[in-house]
Order: sequence, then C-alpha cells, then structure tokens
Amino acid sequence: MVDLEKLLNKALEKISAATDVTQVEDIRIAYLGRKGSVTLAFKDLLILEAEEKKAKGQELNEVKKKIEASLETKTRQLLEKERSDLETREWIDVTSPGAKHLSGHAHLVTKTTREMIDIFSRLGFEVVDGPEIETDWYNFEALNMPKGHPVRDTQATFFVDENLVLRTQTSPVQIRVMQNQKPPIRVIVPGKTYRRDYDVTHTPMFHQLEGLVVDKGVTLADLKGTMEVFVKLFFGEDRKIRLRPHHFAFTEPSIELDISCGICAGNGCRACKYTGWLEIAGAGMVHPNVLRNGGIDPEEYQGFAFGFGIERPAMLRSNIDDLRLFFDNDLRFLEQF
Amino acid sequence: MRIPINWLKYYIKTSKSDTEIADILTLSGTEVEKIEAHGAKWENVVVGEVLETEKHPNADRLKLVTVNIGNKTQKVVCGATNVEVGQKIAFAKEGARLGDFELKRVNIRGVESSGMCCSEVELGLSAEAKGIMVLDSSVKVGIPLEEALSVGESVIEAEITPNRGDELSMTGIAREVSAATGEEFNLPEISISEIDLKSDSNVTVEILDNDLCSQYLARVLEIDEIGESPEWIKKHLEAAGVKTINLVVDVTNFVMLELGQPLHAFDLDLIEDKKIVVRRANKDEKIETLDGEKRKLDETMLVIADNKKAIAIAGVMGGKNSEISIGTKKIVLESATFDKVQVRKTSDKVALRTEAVVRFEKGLPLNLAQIAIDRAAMLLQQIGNARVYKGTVSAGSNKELEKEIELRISDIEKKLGVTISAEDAGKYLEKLGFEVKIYEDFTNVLVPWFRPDVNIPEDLLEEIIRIYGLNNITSSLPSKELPSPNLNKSLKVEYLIRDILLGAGFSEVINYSFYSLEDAKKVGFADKSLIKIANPINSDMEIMRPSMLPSILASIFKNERNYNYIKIYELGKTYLPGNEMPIEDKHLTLAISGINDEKVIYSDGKVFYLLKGTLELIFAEIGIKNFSLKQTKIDQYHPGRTAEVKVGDKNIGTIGEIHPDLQAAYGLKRPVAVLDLFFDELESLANLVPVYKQIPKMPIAHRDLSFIIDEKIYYEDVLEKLMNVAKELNKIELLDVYSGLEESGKISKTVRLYFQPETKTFSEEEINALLGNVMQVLKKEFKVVVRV
Repeated sequence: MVDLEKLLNKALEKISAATDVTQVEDIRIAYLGRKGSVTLAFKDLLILEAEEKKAKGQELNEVKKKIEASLETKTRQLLEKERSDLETREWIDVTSPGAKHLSGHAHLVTKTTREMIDIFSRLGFEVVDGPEIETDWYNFEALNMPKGHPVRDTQATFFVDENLVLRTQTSPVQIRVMQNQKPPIRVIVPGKTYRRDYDVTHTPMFHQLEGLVVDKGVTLADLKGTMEVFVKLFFGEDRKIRLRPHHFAFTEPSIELDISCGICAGNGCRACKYTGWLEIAGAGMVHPNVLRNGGIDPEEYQGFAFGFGIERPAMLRSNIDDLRLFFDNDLRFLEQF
Repeated sequence: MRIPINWLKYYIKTSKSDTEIADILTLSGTEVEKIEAHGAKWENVVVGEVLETEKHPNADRLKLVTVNIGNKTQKVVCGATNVEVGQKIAFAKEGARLGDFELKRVNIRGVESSGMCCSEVELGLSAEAKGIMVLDSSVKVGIPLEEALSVGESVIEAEITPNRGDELSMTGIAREVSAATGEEFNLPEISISEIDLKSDSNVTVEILDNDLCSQYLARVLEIDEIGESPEWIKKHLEAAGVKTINLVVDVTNFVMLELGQPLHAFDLDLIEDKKIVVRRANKDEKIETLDGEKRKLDETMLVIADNKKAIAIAGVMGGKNSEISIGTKKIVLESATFDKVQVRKTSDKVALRTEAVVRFEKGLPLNLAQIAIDRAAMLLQQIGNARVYKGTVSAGSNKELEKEIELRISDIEKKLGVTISAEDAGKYLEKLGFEVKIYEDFTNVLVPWFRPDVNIPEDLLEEIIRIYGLNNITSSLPSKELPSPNLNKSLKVEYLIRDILLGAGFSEVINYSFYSLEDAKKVGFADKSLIKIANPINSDMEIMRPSMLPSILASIFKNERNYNYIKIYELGKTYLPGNEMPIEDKHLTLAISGINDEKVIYSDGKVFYLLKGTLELIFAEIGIKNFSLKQTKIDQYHPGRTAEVKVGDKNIGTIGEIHPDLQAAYGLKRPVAVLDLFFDELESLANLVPVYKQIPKMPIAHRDLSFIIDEKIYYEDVLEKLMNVAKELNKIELLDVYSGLEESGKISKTVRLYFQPETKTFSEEEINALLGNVMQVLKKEFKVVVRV
C-alpha cells in the first residue's frame, strides 16, 4: 500500500506547479484516470481485510476528493488567468483587410430589369418575350405606322432586308401577346431593342421594358396610377411625376412621363436642363387600330401601354454619364454594381 | 421650333410670363425644351463710347483705350485691332458676368485695367469674331447692352410632335396657348387692294404630276425697289433662327412662320415664257439651288419648271436661276400643296432639310395655301409698296373635305377614367377650333381644316384630356380580375442561375448582338449562312452574331490587361437565318481566364476543370442530375480538352478550352475555358423542386485509396464500376491526381470512399472487406496497382 500522505502531497505539489490546463488534465489522468495512482490504490484495497479496507478506503476517498478539489480550483484559476490577458495575448489588428470572398456582379441592366420586374409583378404583370429580329408588319405596320409614316424616320432603323428589321422597340410584342392571349392581359416585356445611333447618350443596342394592359374598362387614370406606383417604388417616395400629352402612333391619347429631378429636387440643374423634370417613359391608351391588329375588338376592350428605357433610369440613379459604358464590358465598370 | 415670344403676342393677348407660357405649352403637349431669355445673361455690360486710343507702353499689340460709359470714363487695355475713336462698343464693367466668368480688375503688362471691350464671342452672341463688337452709332451711351441690342427678345424652343404640323407656326402655337388659358386669340386680318392688271395674263400654271402636287397657287406683284425688311420683321426672323435676306424673301419666310405654309418667290422676268410647270425631274437634270450648290436630280423628284428648265425643287428649295434680286421688278409668289412623302424623300436624297421641308413633310391642309399667299401679298403691299395683280392663278384642287366625328359622351369616363361634362368637353374642343354639337348621349364634332391629325373619337379624347390637364386626373389602378397567373419557369431558372453565378464569382457582361464578318469567320461561319444588317453603324457591327464565342472572347480581351483572373458570363441570343423568321437561340455562355488561388487538384487543364466545377454547381442547383461530358472535337476548341455536355442522348452545350489558334486570333495571353449552354434546354430539364432524402442516422465512414492507372481510362468509367461494388458505398470523391510518374502513360489517383451503414456502425473488419472488394474490381477491370 502506498503512502497516501506522500501521494497526496506530491499530487498537490504538482497541481500547484502546473501552468496551463493541459498540464492539469495530464495530472488528473495520472492520478484519477483509468490507470491513475489513486484508481490503482483503490484496486489495492481489494486484498485488505474488511475493517482495514473500510478505514483505508475512507482515507483514500478523502485523498481523491482533495485532489479533485485542488484540480478544480487550479483549473478555475488557470482559466481566470488565461481570460484576464486574452486581450493582449490574442490581440489582432481589426483594421487590416478582410479575407477575400470573390463575388460576381450582375450587369446593371439585369439588376435594373429585375427590380422593375419585381415592382410590376406586385401589380400582377406577367413577363413575356418576343423576337428581336422582327417583321416590318409587327414592328411598324401593326403599330399604326404604315410605310411612309414620318414616325418611322424618327426611329433610325436597322434593316436586315425589305421585310425584316431589328426591332426598334419592344412594342411589337404587344401585338404578339394580343394574338396569343385573350383579355384580361397584363404583361411586361423587358428586352433588347436596336436603333441606328451611336454617341454618349445613344448605343445601337439598348434595353426597354414594355407594359400592356388590356381589359374592359381600363382607363387613362389607371395608367397614371400604375406609373405612380412604379416611380415611387423605383425612384423613391419623394419623387413627383408629371404627365405630358405627346404623340405616338400606337397610342391615343399618348403621354410622356416625367419625374422630378433627383439631383436638384426639381429646382433646375444641368441634368434636367433646368426644367426640374426628367423624361423617363412614353405611354398611352392603346390605339384602336393596334387592338384590331392584335385581333381584339376595340368596342369591347380597351387598354394602356407604356415603355421605359432600362439604361436611362439606371443612369439617373447611379449618376452614369456615358451610355456606351454599359456595353463596353470593362469589369472596372461592371464590378461597381 | 423657335418661338419669339413678342411675335407670339401679336396673336394672343396674354398676361402670362414667359415661363408660364412655356409651362402651359409643355403641359398641353407642346414640349418646351428651353427658354432663351435674351439680355438676362449680361450683368454690368453697358454701351461705351471710345474717346481715345493709345499704344500700350510695354506691348506692341495692345492698346490703351479710354471709354466713356455715361457717368464716367474708364481706361482699359484692349487687344482688338478694329477699335477706333468714336465707336459705340459693348463695355463690360468690373464685376460683369460673361457666361460663367466674372470680370475682375487685372494688371496687364504693368498697366492696371478695369473692364473690357467685348467681342461677340465674349458676349455669347457668336462663335467667332474678328474684333470687338461695334454697335450702331445712334445708341445711347451708358445704357445696358440688352436694351441697346434690338435682338433682345425671349425665345421659347419647343418640340413639335410629328402629328401637329399646324403647330409649326406662330398662330398655331398661339391657338394652343389660348385654348389652355382662355385668353383671346386673333388671326391676322387679310385685306389686299389689287390693281387692274391680272395675275393670270402674266403667268400660267400647269401641274403635270398631280399625284405629287394637289394644288399650286401663284400671284403676280410689281415692286419698284426691293430693300431691306423693316426692323420688326428682321428682329422676329432672327429670333426665330431664320436669316434675313431682302424684303421679298423675308416676307415669304415671315408668313411661313406665321401661318405654317411655305411660300416661294420667283423673279417673273427670269421665267421662260412666263410659264410655270410642276413636273417630275428628268433623269440627270441639274439645278443650282439658292444655297449655291449644284444638285443632280432624278425622275422620283418633283420640280417647278418653266418652259426650258427647272427653277425650284418642289417644297425643298428654289433655284438660283429665278432668284429674287435687288433689280427684280415683277415677282411671282408660289403657294402650293406638295405630297408629304415625296418632299421628305427628295429632301433625304438631296440632303437638304429646309424649314419648308419640315412643314411640307407633315402634310399641309389645302385651305392654307390661299390664306398664306394673300397674307404675303398684303404685307408686300403694305411694307414694300408692291402692286398686287388681280386674282390668283390656280391649278389643282383646293377643296378640303369636311370631317365630322361622333363622340359618345360616356366614352370620356369609360376610356379616360375622369368625369368631364359634355359641356366642358365641348368648350375645350371649341377653344381649339372644333365645332361641337351636343346631343343627349353623343356629340357631333366638326374638325377644323387645319387639324388633319384628328380622325377618330380617341383623337378627340386626347384633345379633351390635354386641355383638361393630365395632371388633374385622379389616379387609380386597374382593378379588374387578374389574368390567370403564369408559372414562368424560364424566368425562375434564369434568376436561379444568375444567383448561383453571382456566388460563384462570375460577373455578367452584355455585348452588342452584332459583330464583324471577320469575327463570324473566326468561329467558322461562312458568309452566306449569316444574318447581315443592311445598314450597319460600321463593318464591326454588321453581322447578327451566329455564336457567343466572339462576344465572350472580346470581353475577356477587354479585361486581360487589368485582371489576371477573369470569370464572366453572358446570357444572350444568337441569330441565324430561318425559314420565315430568323432563329434566335438563347445561350448561357461562361468563360474563365487565369486561376486565382482556388484549389484545383489537377496540374493540367486547370481552367477547364474550374469551369467544369461551375457546370456541376449549376446543374446540382437547378436539379439536372444525369449529365455527362463526352469528349469531342470542334474546330474552335482545343482538340484534347473539349466535350459535349449531354443529358441522356441530348447535346445541351459545349465545354472546353478554346483552340490555341483562336486564342491567338483574339490576342489573348492566357488559355480560356468556355462553357456554352442552350438556355432553353436548361429550362426544360431543370427540376426546381428537390425531393427530400432521409438524413442517415448512422455515422458515415471513409477510407482513402491510391492507385496507379492508365491515364487514358476515363475516370467516369472507373467510377461507374466501383459504385456497383456495394450498395453501402455511398460516394467516391477524387482527392488528388499525380501525373509525374516514372512510367509514362500512367497516372496516380487518390480517392476517398464513403461507406454508409444502414442500421449499425461498421466494424473495422466490415469496412476492410468492402475496401477489399473495391480493390479487387480495380485490379480486375483496370489492371491497376493499388496503394492503400
């Protein structure tokens, strides 16, 4: 039988000398583990007589408890000590840059389109699509612009041949939708459009978002309300809208939509040419001829249509001064959005 | 169009300010682009008189000029060579604002100078000037410059929509303002006293091509002397942006701007046989127009001619050979109605867009011609003491058809969504010149002759609502039933893929849909199988793209200089000829150039494998499971590093490194891997709703295994055999490949095998048994050397 007092003192001595929790754990294993001195000492008791076994047993239990208590105290002390200088020991420079996560960037046109789609989706609009190379009939004729119509000249058109053009607007999809779907119709058409212009504010390809609503009793007042909801959600609650009468061949009455300038709050600045207003969309009540061309009876149904540029609102919001940047595909531009 | 406001006020008595007039016009459909307020841009610029000039003591080219500015004299340095004693000049005092610049006291070569003698450039009146601006000697010294200059007239610049030809005139604009404000509108009164000599005994008119000219009117006048126009005409014309020439020409222009009908004046003595013929031009006929250009005509064009020669291009510009000059004694005034399309086409062909063209191409009402020719005769009589011959020589028809439109009163509310009474609607229309009869539930509206654009009830609704005011409409939203909703899987798949790519570090590019023929040829398309734009911006934008490759490679090239590592994608269409309509195919095209620090276990084909990883990611997320890559050869791609992307037997795209030749053709520094997928196939194969699989209750065990194998044996074939070894073998992961072995043609691969027990944890023995089976298959099927 070991000398319990010696064992205890030795253990306490070791515990006291320990400098970190791993050492303490090693000590615990050495004494109280499966093959530890105290555990083995308990096994040694088996060979003793009952009375001695009991006395020694009690003694050994005392020793075990003392060691346990000492271990626990020591552990606590060490942890306290460790926590107390955590700040200095494990200090890092929080101003140093973070580890890189490489993220991609959706194109600004895509982001803007998606935001517009979300807004119109809330109003029950479905997204539809159509060909970019269109027939003369869908792009012009069906939209009330017969051959020789002066409006055709204002839309510098790319021609493929006598019959095919690159669509100058997303509006031909209006006709395609009306031909394929019975009212009620409530659709938007985001997509590429083409015109033969190339300068700071014009690119030969750009994007539009067209809207069409056809039903019984759809009014100009409904169009105005729809435009207001869009402007408030896209540009912000504080923006005002203004409608101006205008002329488009495929709507009657036709309007243009202005929003108050966000840069000068409507007081007049260079961006709004000192008018306080920025033009952002054309719209109107669908012309009866256009409804007819879509196979819809204008006596029974009526509707409104609108068209936004996608790049222009994005340019206004993000203060971009050159449209050509959108299709230059320089990542130093693309990564900013 | 430029609208001088003082001129406008001849026809409308208005109390509104310039800005108010502009707002009224804008909100009733005539968009004002800007107001040019003459005079307002100068501060502290006055009329000065040059009293003395002397040489600058320290500079040969400069002068010291003493100027009287009314209340005092000022000595300033001046560099102009044209300055002379006695001149009245524009003098900018210290503190004057000239454009964005404020004039300060300066020291020029040792002489103090406070103020400046201005040129027209500095005053913003002209783009160039030879020296200082010299004013009329009669102007009073000391008064502000804007007061001294007779051009001090504010001008509104407005955009006239193509349907409103009637608004290309002062009276048309005045009528609009009057309709909106209710203020009094007056057309000029016309009265002429004609002399006994007759127009038609002095000139004859014949229209040969009446499909292109429906009416031709002529009047003959005699004048003793053609001088300059009076100040008021000059002032208005200049403000309207029209050059002044002489009284006769100025009056024709004045009437054009006043009423909208272009007029022309010929010297009658220069018209051969006093005969005017309206006919198509002859092939290769030539004419020198008033601007001094010699122009070649063709048979599609219409000319005014005499018995021998063309004397004007109809509706476009007059000829030099019949021009009004100082010596002209007899004048023929022309007022005609030409075909609008013809005028526009001719104008395009001869590249000449005059004020007359702008008006003719909108289509002019027949009634206007007589009014305008009479008005011009009247002005020439009043101002130039011209004697007006009796009557108008006329050819063609001048009968305008009357148009009546029936408007249902209920349609106002039904279509516009606002309540406007029949009486109010009628009043708005009457102010615009319509005649309105109101019946119980409809109105009968007679359209005035000057409004050819109004033809259907909807046109009347537009007139009503724009005078009522669009901004007075109370907004509402479409409140009827919604169309039955559409799942729109395409949009869902698109959004999902875009989001995956965003997280995977791909940035989106959008290229033009067209590129050069050379680009198309580089990717293997022959000339005739392409869609060509007939009128491209330039030859770099000529072909509707048949392939995404040139687009995506151009974007890589664009960024290689600034980025060592590029991951981009484009979601766009390709365009190829089809039967009736061209074939437009939507592609999802990805490209990677360069490797960052991403962990790629392969030493060869890193960009390929990186991109294949993206492919696997996309397919996993959109639920496409059974896809495979089948090695293939495509001309534009690397012969050893290219595959078809297959789902079942269907080819849904291509993945590969581009061919080194193509890489060189695009000037690319690094190899590029491209993944080109047919978006529509992705859409139809996508399975957006995953089915839940029970999470295993037992812990999964794994063991690593290395083996050396023939490098040409496809990993996928090995995988397929191994996965059949036992159902407990749940997954095999490739951890490492090593190709630097001594024995050539061999490669070392390390895989991790995952064993998933169903009911109880595997014992070491059980795992070893499974592992043993795997090794046996490897040895038997692929003759590999296994190292555990």
